Amino acid sequence: MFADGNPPDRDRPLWLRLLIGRSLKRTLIRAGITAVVLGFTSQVVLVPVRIEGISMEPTYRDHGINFVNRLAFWLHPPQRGDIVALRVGRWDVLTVLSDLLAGHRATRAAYLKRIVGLPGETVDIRQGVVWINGQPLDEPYVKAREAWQLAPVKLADDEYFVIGDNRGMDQQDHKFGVTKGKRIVGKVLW
Amino acid sequence: MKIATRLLGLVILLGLGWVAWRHFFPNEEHRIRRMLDGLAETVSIPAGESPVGTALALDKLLSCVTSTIEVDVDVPSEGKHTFSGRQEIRDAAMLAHQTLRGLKVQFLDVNVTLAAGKQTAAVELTVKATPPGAKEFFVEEMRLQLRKEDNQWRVSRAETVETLKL
Repeated sequence: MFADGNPPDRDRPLWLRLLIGRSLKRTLIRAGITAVVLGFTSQVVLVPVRIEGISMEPTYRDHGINFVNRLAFWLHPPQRGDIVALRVGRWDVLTVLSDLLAGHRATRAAYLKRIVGLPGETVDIRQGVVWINGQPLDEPYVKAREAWQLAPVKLADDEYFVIGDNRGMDQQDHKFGVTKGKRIVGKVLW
Repeated sequence: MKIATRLLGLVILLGLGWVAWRHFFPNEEHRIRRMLDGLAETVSIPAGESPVGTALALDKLLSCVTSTIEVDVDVPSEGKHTFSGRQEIRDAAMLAHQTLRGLKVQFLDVNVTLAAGKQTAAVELTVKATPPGAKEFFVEEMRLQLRKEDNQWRVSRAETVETLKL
C-alpha cells in the first residue's frame, strides 16, 4: 500500500507517467477543467476562425487563421474601419455545445467584412470609391479597384454598411451591403 | 486508482451505450438531421456526373420534398427565384445539373425546432455551396419548414434569409 494510493513514479513505465502524471484522478480533474475553460473561451470570448475566400484580400489571405473577439463591442459600438465577423445562422452557444455532445458537426459560418458606414449615414459607391454622406472615404487598405457602382443607401439607427477589402473582384461576386448591428458577433483579433 | 479507473470505464461504457441507443432509436430531431444530411448530399453535384446519376439524384431529391413545396431563394449572382411544386423543383434541379460542372453542398449550424405534436418542424441552417476549383464559395442562411408524411420528414417550404441587403 502507498500513502496516496498510487505506486511510486519509478515503478511505472515512462509512457504511463507522461500520460497520466502522478495521479490519474488529479490528471482527469485538470483535463476536465482545461476542457471546460478552453470550450468556454473558444465559444464565448475568442472564437477561432478559418478564413476562406478572397473577398478580404490583401488584408486576409485565403485559408488564414484568426480569432474573433466577442467581447470587443461590450463597452463601445463598432467603429469605421473595424473588421468584424457577421454571423450567418444563429450562432447559438447552447446549440453548439449540444451539437458537440451529440456528435453533430458544430461548424458555423460568418462573413469577415470591414465596417465603412455607421448608423444614420448615407453610403454610395462611385467608380469603386466608397462615399459617406457625399464625401469620398480614404481607404488605404484597398489595393485594387474595379468600377463598382451603388446608388445611395441610407442606414437606419441599428444598421452598418460592411464591405470586403478586395475591390478588384467583380462586384456581383462580392458579398457586401447593409447589416443589422445584432449580426455583428465580434471584432477580428489581428 | 482502481476506483478512478472503474469510474472512467463506466463513463466510457455509458457514453458508448448512449451513442448506440441514439443510432438505433433516433428521436425526431435526430431523424430530421439525418434527412438533412442526406438532402445536402443529394443536392450536391459530383464532377463528371453520369445521366443515370443525375436521374437518381433528382428522384431522391423529390422524395425529400412535399408535393406542395414552395422554394423562395436568393441565389448569389442570379437573383431571386421562386419554385412551387415538385415539377418546378425537378426542372430547376435538372438545369443546375446540366449547367454546373460540380457543387459541394454542406448544411452548417443546424437548429431544429419541433412543433407540438411532432408532425411539423422549423429548421434554421446555413448552406455552404462550393463549386469545384473556385476560390469563392456561397454561404446563405436558410429557413426550412418540414412536414411528416408517411412517417418520413419532408421539406414543405424553403427560403433564404437576407444577411446583407443592398
